[in-house]
Order: sequence, then C-alpha cells, then structure tokens
Amino acid sequence: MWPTALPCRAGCLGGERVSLDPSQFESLFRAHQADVYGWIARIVRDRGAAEDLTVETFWRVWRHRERYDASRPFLPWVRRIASRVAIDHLRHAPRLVGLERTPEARDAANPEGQSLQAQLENAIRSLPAKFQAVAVLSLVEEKAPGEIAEAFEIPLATVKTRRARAIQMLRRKLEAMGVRP
Amino acid sequence: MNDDELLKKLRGMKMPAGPEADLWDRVQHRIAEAPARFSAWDWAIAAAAAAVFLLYPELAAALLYHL
Repeated sequence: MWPTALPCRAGCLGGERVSLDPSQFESLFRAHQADVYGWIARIVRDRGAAEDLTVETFWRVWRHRERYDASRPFLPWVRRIASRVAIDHLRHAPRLVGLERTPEARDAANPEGQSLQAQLENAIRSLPAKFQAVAVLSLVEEKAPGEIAEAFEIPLATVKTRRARAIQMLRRKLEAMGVRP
Repeated sequence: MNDDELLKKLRGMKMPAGPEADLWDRVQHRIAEAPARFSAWDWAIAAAAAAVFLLYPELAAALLYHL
C-alpha cells in the first residue's frame, strides 16, 4: 500500500531520505491527525470538507517532507499548512450554506434561536475568507490571538485588526438581514 | 443585542473536534495515486521552452546534436 517508489528529493543523503521517512510520517500523522482535523474543521465549519482538507494537508506535508526540520516542533508547521489549505477552501467554497453546529447547541436552541443562529452562520460565511477564518477562530472558538497569528503567519496586530473588522462586518450584515445586533 | 450578546451567541456555535474516522488510509491513497502535480512555475518553464522551439526551430537540431 505504501508507495515505495517515491523519488528521493532534496534532503536525501546517499539515496536515503533523512528529512521524514514513512514510519516517522505515520507516527506524526497518528499524533497530530485529530489536532489538524480540529483546526481545519473550526475554520471551514464543515466536517466532510475538514476530512478532505486534512488528507490534503498531510499529502502536502509528505510532498514537502524535505522541508521538515525534526529539531523543531511539528505542530506549528503542519498548522501553517492546514491554515493555508483551509483558507484556499474558504475562498472557493460556496457562500451562504448552512453551517454545522454541535448537537448541544442545536438541541438547546429554540426555534427563534435557531433562526438567529442560522443568520449568524450565514453572516460569518459571507465574510471574506481571511476575516472569516479569524472570526471563527477568535470569536467562536476563542483561540488566542497569538495562536492564530502563528498559524496564519501574520502579525499579532493583524489578527486583532481582522477580529475588530470582522465584528463590524458581522454587525453590518446582521443589520442588513434585519437582525439588530 | 449588544456586542456581548453577539459574542455569546457566536461562542455557542463551537465545532466538535476530532475526525469521525481514521484518515490514514485516505492519506496513503492520496500519496500513492497523486503524482507530483506540475506547479504554475513548471508550466511556465515548459511554455517558454515550447515558445523558443517554435520561434527558433533550428535550436532543436542544436540541442539534439549536443544530447
């Protein structure tokens, strides 16, 4: 099953890969699959797409394995790749589709609450990709600005600016929908 | 609804974490099935080479001579 005929690219020594071999790759995958999936799912808010994008992320990790530096933590590197994959998806994903929610949130919501939540979901989904990503990670998932900045390779101040702009845009979009935030 | 209420509503929309299935088989399939795709840069180089050979066909003979 494992492709043994993969070409040895940069990072090879005497024909042997020294950056990341298949067993190391599998170990890293097993250790970080859930985190990468969770990170992507939080950004794209679609479980099916998150699975596809997790596969895509680890495929890119393998493809660029010569860039892997074993002396540095794997998670920040793979999260940066996952963030790029997720943002690309948001840029091309259809807007204004219903987003998934936790079963608890779905059960707890009354009909009026469901309607408001659907409007909030659509308002978030209609934001430009880079604002949408920061909005969901910061406002919905309550991730720390530093964590978001590192994953998207942007300055901390940019995260804070995008967060503030996202709130403004959300308020405007909700007002346009007839919701008075 | 003020900002605090808006933020509270947003926080109620958290996504569940963790995949429903192990994705290792899919990753292996992806690696095995997908050959390295040409990047835009690769296509640009190929297009430039094709353009050179179309504009200066005599270069093809020179290249073949040196191979």
